[in-house]
Amino acid sequence: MQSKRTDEEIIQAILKGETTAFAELVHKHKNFVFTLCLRFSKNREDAEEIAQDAFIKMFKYVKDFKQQSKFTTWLYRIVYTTAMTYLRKKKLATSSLDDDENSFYLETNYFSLDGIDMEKKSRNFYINKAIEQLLPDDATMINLFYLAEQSLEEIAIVMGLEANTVKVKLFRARQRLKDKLNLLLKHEAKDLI
Amino acid sequence: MENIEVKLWDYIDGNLNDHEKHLIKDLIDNDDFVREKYLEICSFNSSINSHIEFEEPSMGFTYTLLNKLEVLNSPLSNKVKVNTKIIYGIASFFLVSLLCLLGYILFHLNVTHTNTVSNLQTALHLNFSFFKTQGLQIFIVVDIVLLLLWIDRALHLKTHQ
Repeated sequence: MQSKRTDEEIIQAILKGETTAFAELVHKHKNFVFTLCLRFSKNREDAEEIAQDAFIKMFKYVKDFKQQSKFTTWLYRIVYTTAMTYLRKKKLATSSLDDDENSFYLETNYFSLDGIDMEKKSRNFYINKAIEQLLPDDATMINLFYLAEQSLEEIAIVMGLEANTVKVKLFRARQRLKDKLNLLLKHEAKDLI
Repeated sequence: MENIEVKLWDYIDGNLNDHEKHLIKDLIDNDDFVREKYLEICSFNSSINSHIEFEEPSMGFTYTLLNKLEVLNSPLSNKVKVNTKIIYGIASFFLVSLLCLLGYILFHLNVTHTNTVSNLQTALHLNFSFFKTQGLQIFIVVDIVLLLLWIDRALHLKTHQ
């Protein structure tokens, strides 16, 4: 069995014309790329389309990847710009947790959970729901920092900002996430977090 | 208040230098309010860390993507072949033909001026006797039409790129 290759090894294989290597790269990164896209589109079909566009761009420009940064940082930059372009085109209205319809949706989903791991599921559910409710830039920052484990400097490259600005924005994003959770869970929030 | 929170986050993220780290650690050890805030932030941070999840795209995501790439790639390579080898070949042939023809015309030109310069009328009398050959006329017209078509295509490609 072939051992897991690094991103750089897979890129070299793509450049040499190994057709299956691209699928390997997609398989490796599709979940995070899709998650990031979902923070912008708020709907799975559109998120898949953005993610696919981003991967196609990546494939087109992979020969220009200079390896001056991590491959993931370069890829996330493509995803971020593709998603921003989508957002500008669609001009999506960001939803709020104060929205009654949303509150109802959250509650019904929460109470439909059952089983012994309900507590864990509900924690996951609420935290991910709260992230979903953030503005795209805040959600992107939280995802890049916690899920993709990118440093402040790397997030700065992805989002085209200064590292210090990212630090401040990340702080604000965490504050807003906490506020959303508090709003969402009201009295339960303190126990949950 | 917000300032101490920022510092506590920096402390947790490891963004502080040694001196600042010591200062914050002292504050956490000695100030109840700061310690409480620190524990709250730690709890929130670890909660995000352990509960944030990836979303998964549909099962057919990779398959659809690879199909899209396949469709995108094949016609593109054909287009490139036609553009470089055929279009420019035809264009250069007709360009050379036209230049030769222009040279021939200029070589056989017979330009005369009338003597009535005083009435500000200058007349050019060109000898187009060679032009009366029907075959040559057709050739020039076809050349001009093809040249115009080529310019149109070149401009179209340039705009498209």
